[in-house]
Amino acid sequence: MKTRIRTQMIMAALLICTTTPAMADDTWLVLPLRSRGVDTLAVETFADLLRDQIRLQLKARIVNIPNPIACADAICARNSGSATNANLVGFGSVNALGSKLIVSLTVVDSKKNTIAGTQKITVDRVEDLEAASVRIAKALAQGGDTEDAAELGTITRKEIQPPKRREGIRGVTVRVGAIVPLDDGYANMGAGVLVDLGYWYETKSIALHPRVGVRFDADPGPGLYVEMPIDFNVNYIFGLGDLAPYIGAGAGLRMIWEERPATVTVGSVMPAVAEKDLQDFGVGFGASGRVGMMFLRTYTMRLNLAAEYNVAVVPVNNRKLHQSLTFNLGAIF
Amino acid sequence: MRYAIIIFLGLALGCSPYYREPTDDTCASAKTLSQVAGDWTIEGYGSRTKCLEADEQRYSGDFVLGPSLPLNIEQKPSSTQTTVHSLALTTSLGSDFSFHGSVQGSCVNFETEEQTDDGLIRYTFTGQAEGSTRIEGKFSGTGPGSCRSSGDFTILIRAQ
Repeated sequence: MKTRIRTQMIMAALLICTTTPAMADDTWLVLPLRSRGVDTLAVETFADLLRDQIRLQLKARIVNIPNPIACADAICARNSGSATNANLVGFGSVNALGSKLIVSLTVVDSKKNTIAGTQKITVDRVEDLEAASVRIAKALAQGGDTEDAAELGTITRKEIQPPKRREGIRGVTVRVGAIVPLDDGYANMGAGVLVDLGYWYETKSIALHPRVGVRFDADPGPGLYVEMPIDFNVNYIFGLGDLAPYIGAGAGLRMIWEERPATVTVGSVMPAVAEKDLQDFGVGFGASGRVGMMFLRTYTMRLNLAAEYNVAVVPVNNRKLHQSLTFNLGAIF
Repeated sequence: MRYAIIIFLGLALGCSPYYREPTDDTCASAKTLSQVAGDWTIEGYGSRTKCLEADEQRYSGDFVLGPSLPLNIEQKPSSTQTTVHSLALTTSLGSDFSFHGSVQGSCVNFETEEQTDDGLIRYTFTGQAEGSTRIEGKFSGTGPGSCRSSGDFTILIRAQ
């Protein structure tokens, strides 16, 4: 009895916790894993997945034994390996701890009587055991512990999601200003009022700016125009300071409604002359280019001053081209 | 009492402007034939309605007619009727404009047709000469497109 205990102590001493990379021509025996608080079938599936991953990543041969024992210690595992000529034997457990699952796997070199490696990994849910099997096999192939592997030792749902991306500064932007029609577009009327509502997404140098707006005639006299742009703008910002100039361009839909004062003359020998307010509505394409200046760029609320050239190709009252300059001051919240 | 009512109605109708307003029949049966030859300048007021198409809406509504270009009109006896004279345009205003009309008694009727960029414009004028310097009446017409027009007109005649 005393001799047996001594022998076991010597063997235990020989099972030095050294971690060595698994070799391609190894023969593996992965024993059934013990479990507490985890569905047995799920644990069996995990063991199967682990065997597959070891075969794939370690290029190893997997052997099975009839009625395998779910070993709890290295000696038991070594004995199982000896019975099958498997030089590496994996044994371990999948246990529930609160809402987490803790996977533990120990690899015993049955020929050298050493522990070839110990892997431990924590997952949030049973579905993550598949990813855990890949990671454990990878760690075994690299010859390190799971914690030391390039990837983290804990698999969470967040971790499985795509990696985090950099976030831009974004917010609602409101602009007010003036529109100055050029040529004889916009009912051939004068300056008007501009109000834009948009969304501002700003990165280091680029700002995206979808918007919807309304521009209308400010003169209470005859004639009227109302323009509604719905477009998407891209801006390039120079500098990161509180005073940053920028340029931009955009394109999108333009809707124009106008009431154009006009003298309608029919005939030349015997002309019939009528003073009319010709009403018309049209939808078309529009584009714009702008230069501007951002103020307080480093603050949560920023101000924005811009001058913009707009051109709209909208057929209203037999005129297609409507050009304008706009000047606006905006705030980004 | 019955006679009193009849006499009252008779006086009322006899004094009413409507009754006194000359009709085509009355102007046509006038004993003297009006002489309206000369340079005509047509003016008037009217309105266009029933402009059905969307691109014709700009023509609908009230309008001022003229003043027209001077129309040099000659008056000739009709070959078929001695009591009717025909009216014709002596100066050419281009192939896009045509004129023809007639005078019977003091009644003056004529039609014009003009091809414009907006479409064909036709007017029919029915008026009464007041001496040889003025014609007043009503007009109706068609065009551009489906539009219908009507109104009042005055023609000032400058004798040649």
